[in-house]
Amino acid sequence: MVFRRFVEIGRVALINYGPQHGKLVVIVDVIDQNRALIDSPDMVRTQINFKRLSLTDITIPELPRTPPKKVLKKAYEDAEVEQKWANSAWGKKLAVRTKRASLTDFDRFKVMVARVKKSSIVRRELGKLRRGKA
Amino acid sequence: MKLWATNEVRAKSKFWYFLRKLQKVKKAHGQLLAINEIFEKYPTTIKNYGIWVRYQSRTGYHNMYKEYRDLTLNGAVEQMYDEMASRHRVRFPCIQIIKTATIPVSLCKRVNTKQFHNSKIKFPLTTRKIRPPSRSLKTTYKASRPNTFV
Repeated sequence: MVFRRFVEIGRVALINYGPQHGKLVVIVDVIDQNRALIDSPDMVRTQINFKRLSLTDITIPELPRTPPKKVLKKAYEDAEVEQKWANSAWGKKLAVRTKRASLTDFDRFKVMVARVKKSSIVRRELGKLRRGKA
Repeated sequence: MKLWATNEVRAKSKFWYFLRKLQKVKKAHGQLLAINEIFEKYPTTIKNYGIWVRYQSRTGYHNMYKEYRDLTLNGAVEQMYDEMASRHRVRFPCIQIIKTATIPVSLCKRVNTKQFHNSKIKFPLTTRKIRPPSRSLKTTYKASRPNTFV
């Protein structure tokens, strides 16, 4: 078993528990065995337990230890963390999940209509193939 | 006098406890002038705290020096109390904090704090416990066995 995701300065992680659940943050320093200092362009620098973090594959390379907020913001944008996250499979899955959770009844109706439409097209083609074979 | 207590009432009581050991004055004869909470000046920077402790064990009094890495002095003191309770079974009333200080990196003694003095620190999280993002989403039964690899 090889470890691919490391706790390091510049590692982007997702908070998976607590009031800030779902937020992307950057590990900016390690306090001790259980806690890290995390930071994000729109939050105050805080400590968090590693148990509340899910490490991602995204890192900000060459990030100095506990950088000033300006430096962090710039490095965050230069490394295109948000874009990389939105393009990653994990990020896309989470986006779909949040979208589904935020649908109104009308949206769900629209989804149902679209699904029915799509499946009717598919079944029509399938019927043609079946009749063609038979 | 700097002391640690969970509330103001306990703080005043502890104040008189320590003052009685320093001067011949009791709460009945004395007057408390001011009690102020000290807030951490830089709660977003990591510091190495050294805490000198005098504690009472089952067989006598001992001194200890302990080091903690934390953002705030209160956090380090809390860690100290937790550690004393777990490692030595010493409870709050039997612990006296002699001195606390932020220790510069070159003067830290304990290997446990020194191992984090590495600007290129890097380590994997070897096991991952998957848990629901809030207690309300907890279920008793799961459909499949959890995989704790990272």
